[in-house]
Amino acid sequence: MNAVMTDHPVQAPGATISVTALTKRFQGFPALQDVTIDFLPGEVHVLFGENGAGKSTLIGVLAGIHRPDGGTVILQGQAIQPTSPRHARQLGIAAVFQEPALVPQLTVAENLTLGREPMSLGLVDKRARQAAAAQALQRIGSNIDPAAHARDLSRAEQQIVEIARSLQGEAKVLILDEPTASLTDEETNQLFTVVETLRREGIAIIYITHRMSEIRRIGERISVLRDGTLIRTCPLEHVTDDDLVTLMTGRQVGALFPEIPHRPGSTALELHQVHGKGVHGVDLCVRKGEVVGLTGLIGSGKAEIGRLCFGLSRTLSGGIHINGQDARSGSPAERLRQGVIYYPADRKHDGLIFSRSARENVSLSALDKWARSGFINRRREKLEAEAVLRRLSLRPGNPDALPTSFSGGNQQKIVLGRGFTRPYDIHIFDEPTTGVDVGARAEIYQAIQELAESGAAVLLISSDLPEVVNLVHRAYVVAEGRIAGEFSGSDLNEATILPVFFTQYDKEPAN
Amino acid sequence: MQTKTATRAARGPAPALAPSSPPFNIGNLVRQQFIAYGILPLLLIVLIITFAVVEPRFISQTNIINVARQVSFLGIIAIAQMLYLITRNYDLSNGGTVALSSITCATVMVSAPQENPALAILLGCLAALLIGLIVGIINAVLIAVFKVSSFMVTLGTGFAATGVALLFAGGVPVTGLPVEFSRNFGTSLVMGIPFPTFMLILVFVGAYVLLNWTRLGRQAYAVGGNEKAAYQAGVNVNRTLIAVMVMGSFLAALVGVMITARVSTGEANIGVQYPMESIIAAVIGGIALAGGEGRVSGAFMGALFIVLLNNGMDLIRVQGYVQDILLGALLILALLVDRVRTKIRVTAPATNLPIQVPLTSDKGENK
Repeated sequence: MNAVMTDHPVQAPGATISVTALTKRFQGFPALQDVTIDFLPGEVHVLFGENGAGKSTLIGVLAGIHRPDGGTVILQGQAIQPTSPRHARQLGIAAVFQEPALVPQLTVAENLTLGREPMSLGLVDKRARQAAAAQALQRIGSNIDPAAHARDLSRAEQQIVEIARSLQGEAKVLILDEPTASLTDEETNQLFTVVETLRREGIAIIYITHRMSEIRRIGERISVLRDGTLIRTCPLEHVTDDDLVTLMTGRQVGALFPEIPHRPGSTALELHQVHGKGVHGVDLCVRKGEVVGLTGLIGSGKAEIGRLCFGLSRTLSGGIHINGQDARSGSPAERLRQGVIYYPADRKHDGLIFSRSARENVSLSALDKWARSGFINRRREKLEAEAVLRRLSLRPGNPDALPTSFSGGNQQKIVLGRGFTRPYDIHIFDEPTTGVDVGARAEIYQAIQELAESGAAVLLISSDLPEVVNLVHRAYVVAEGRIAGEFSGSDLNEATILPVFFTQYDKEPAN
Repeated sequence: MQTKTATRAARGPAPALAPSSPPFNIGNLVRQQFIAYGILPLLLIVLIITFAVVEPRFISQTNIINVARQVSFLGIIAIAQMLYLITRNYDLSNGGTVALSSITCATVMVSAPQENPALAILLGCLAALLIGLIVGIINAVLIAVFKVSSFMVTLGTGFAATGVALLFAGGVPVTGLPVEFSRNFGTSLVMGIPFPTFMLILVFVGAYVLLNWTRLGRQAYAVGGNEKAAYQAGVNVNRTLIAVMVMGSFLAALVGVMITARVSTGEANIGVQYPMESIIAAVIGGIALAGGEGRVSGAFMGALFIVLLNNGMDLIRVQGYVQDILLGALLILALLVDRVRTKIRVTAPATNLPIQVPLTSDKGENK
């Protein structure tokens, strides 16, 4: 490291922060190799790449989480080496990560001043705190109430408070790691307004996202990383979306969404006037060989319908039929026996067992298949579970590794693996591609295609409208717990579907 | 398929499930061993060598048999504790279970008709083991069905069981057991090894098979690791919890019977040290208090470590109090090292380990 430090730091004139020849290895494996990028003031610079391409490692180095093995970070002409997130912030590098880390029980003002409360006479000066918080929020052009509790804020508002918090002090660089991953469109707009304000102030903004649509809206230049190396940095107007996918994945765009032939068979899943928590009189059906979408706003009740079908919440009235059999009550275990499998949206809390290997996670639902009077045939289990993981292209391909060692997309593949250990008739996907990069996303879609072609019924619950429009044969829109519309054929397009999201049933105007 | 593999190979260094080569050297080997077993094997080796050098009697045959006998009781208790810990629960009632099992065993044997010692012994053992099942069922139902914290439940049942034992025996040891009991199950040698050690081997193998080769074992790990996820993956959570915890308490009762045979007396105060000692043994052995992981060999090595430490220090006449201090310090050391180990294990990016054997012909295309 010293040898590098003595080199004269070189930085493109005018750049706020630059990395030159940055290299970082984990256990001998390169996560970043010889990466050189300049980030300019007043510019939103998009970092783009699949999970595991090195984006997180790069911002980790900038934010003081990782120490580089080679190369330099130069901040306004000075070589720096952030040793902790705190140190990075003192240097003027602010980072906001995907998951908001506010204390839910505290107010916005308390969160904003946490750890540096203004004091007077040894006590917290509440008035000064309120003022400091209001100022921090005003600075980024937000009108969030400093007295509100963090738990009452929307995800977007929490993100904005996070940004306000990280920008206190003299920030020159702001790193945003997938800030919109869990936001609705409207919330995204709110966030973008704030980002735009900061950009005008001349802050260099480093923005990570997987969403193609956002890149052009917000970014000026883009750097594409693949397998730890910088593939290209260029202004966004110089590349097309197809170029970007090609640069990122190293393969031609074979269209993200596969064409799935529509050969509907008999009805596999049928709901008739189903009532449950947040679900009011829902009718829907999914046939074999069909991919059916269930879309709507977050909180519309579409996720709840999926949970009802899998026995995760109670059906209060109405009928659920699986292959013609009554399935109103019963546990997930019974549903699995009836041929239904559900892939939860929250793979961390509901999907994965983090203390067990990828292989054991996959085989968990099918142990009885390999067991004879309770004893598992481990050779067969290993062979078949690993074949499933290979088929889903788990990367890196080590089935003995713990789920934590995989990226989001690959963790999702582990969860999906459960559906491939044995034939299930009905597959219910709840937001299968949130926090998943484009490469893994294509692989997940391919898996859905394979399932449908093999004659399974697929119910795809998703807030990602392009995904729904391009992948499914039919789509239901859910609003306020009811089916607000059903679309297929030429009606299945964003312009027709989107307005239905906002259907209101209650007399009082929805808030 | 051909084109697909080709594009994959073109994309980068890691196609699915094919071994790329991480740098392989002694350092990595040690690292892998450390990640798998923690610091305990090393501590055991250091301990044995040190005591053997300082006090030659430590490796005499008499002492080895002595250690083998002592480790049998704690070893089984530690494995029983492990069954609870894997499901993310504590068992603080194993001491009480041992005590009540001992008193029950002795009382039944003494009260049974003396003309048929075999029948008396059989009845005594069955009654004692039944106690284990009862305690286990009470624990498990309260924990699994009523969702009461296992810490409080087992603390409660442990106290209650000890109380019942004391009440039952009127606070005095129960003596006058059939001599055959102690002769056959306490001091006898089976194939040259002490009977209790023979039982330990059985329990060890049984627990190993249970946890690694049966559905129940896998499901127990899964439930302990993430109960919600296990439920959604179709595991019958309550049944798993109950089965595993009942087995744990059953093993505690078994130890009660074994100790009763060894000392030829039923006593209500023989288990007091077990709740804490078994947790220490399990934790030193790498069994996570957070549930979902742990190896039987770890529980056994943890128990062996505690027994060897006490035994060795007894031989070189270290005061009991000093022994406690040292044991406490080593426990904390082991926990600290374990944190490092967990961190490495959890944060390390997955790599294709060399043990991975390719199952397809991908190998040629992957450079």
